[in-house]
Amino acid sequence: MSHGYVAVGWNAQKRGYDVTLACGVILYVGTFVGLSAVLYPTATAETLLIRALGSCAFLMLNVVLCIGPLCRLDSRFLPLLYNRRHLGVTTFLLGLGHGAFGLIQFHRLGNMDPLLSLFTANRNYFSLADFPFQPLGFLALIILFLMAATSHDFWLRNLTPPVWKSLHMLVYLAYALLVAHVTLGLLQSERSRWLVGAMAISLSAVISLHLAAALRERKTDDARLSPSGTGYLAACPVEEIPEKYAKVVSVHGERVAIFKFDGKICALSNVCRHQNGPLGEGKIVDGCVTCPWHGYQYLPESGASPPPFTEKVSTFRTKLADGMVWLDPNPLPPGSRVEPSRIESV
Amino acid sequence: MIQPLRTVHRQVFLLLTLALPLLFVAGIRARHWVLTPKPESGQRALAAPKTRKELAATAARGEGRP
Repeated sequence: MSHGYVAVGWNAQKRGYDVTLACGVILYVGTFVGLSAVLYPTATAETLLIRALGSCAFLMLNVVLCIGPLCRLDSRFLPLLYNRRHLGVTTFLLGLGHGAFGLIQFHRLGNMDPLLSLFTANRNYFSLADFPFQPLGFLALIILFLMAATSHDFWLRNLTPPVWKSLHMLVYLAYALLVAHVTLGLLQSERSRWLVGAMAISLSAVISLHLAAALRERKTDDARLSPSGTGYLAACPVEEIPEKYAKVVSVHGERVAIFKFDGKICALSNVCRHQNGPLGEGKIVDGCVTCPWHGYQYLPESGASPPPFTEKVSTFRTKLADGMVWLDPNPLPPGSRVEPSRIESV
Repeated sequence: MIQPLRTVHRQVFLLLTLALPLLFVAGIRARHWVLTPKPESGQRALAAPKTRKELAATAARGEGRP
């Protein structure tokens, strides 16, 4: 069954995000073109635009890739993640401009089809220094197009979050292609140490942030819960869970968020139905578990979104004994109501 | 539900962590000491980019094309 198209719901936060983004891009491109026009007076307008748009797109892709791990490491970056897709679509549009001007500048003036020329003009595939770098950028642009075209929630719902996320993980392939595109293209002809340094810093930032986030995640996944004779697992001490927040534990490789609020304990799947965001990193707002990524909400006792919304996540039975939260590792069907464990009765 | 995806994500990134720095270093080390034009771009390295007039003249001569 397919889901219908619902237009983007613009709000003040989205408008502010996009206005800031547009101003940033215009400022960057304007400054780049202005300075380059002074430094290289013989350069064509196309050349300046190619470089301005390309560098802006690559810079933005680096920012896009850093947002995810930054949010895992520090929740203060979450506002950047809320509309990350807008950044992604803008990155594609800038890349498209870069590619289009590149085709015009370098491949349109011959007697061959520009796209054919792009793939056949240079065939030095066995030389790093003379490697045909332009097709690498073209392939990356195709991936960015696929991601931009499917960025709307309409596609997220129809493709299902796991398929959508798998598709959007192609961004890493696009990033690898673009690192190769820049290293084997621009950095072969431009000898500036600043450019090499900037590229090294951006690469290091993306890699180190991802590694740091992965190490932190691994601690949660590797923690083993000790079982009791009743089949329940010892999850964590009650006082370890902050009020209105959750403790995330790993059960058979999947994560469960155990929330404490108003003297009660409830456990539900850590995976938001929207984009698989980490519910356990969110908090209770207005009596609902609120996803930190896009604000999707679920009632903690049932895992169901409050009406009129229809999203549901799995819930888990809990019980309290000796100041510990004990968790039944078997998930209940999404939306199943579970009586919360009451802290007063411990 | 998303554990397999998370595992793939981790593996993909570990691969990139090894491959991208290697590619970057290899690419920088492979640079020509005496710069030559990149065959596909028709640009002269270390020189200002060609003007539209120069590009048209190059195309008219049939240079820089297969």
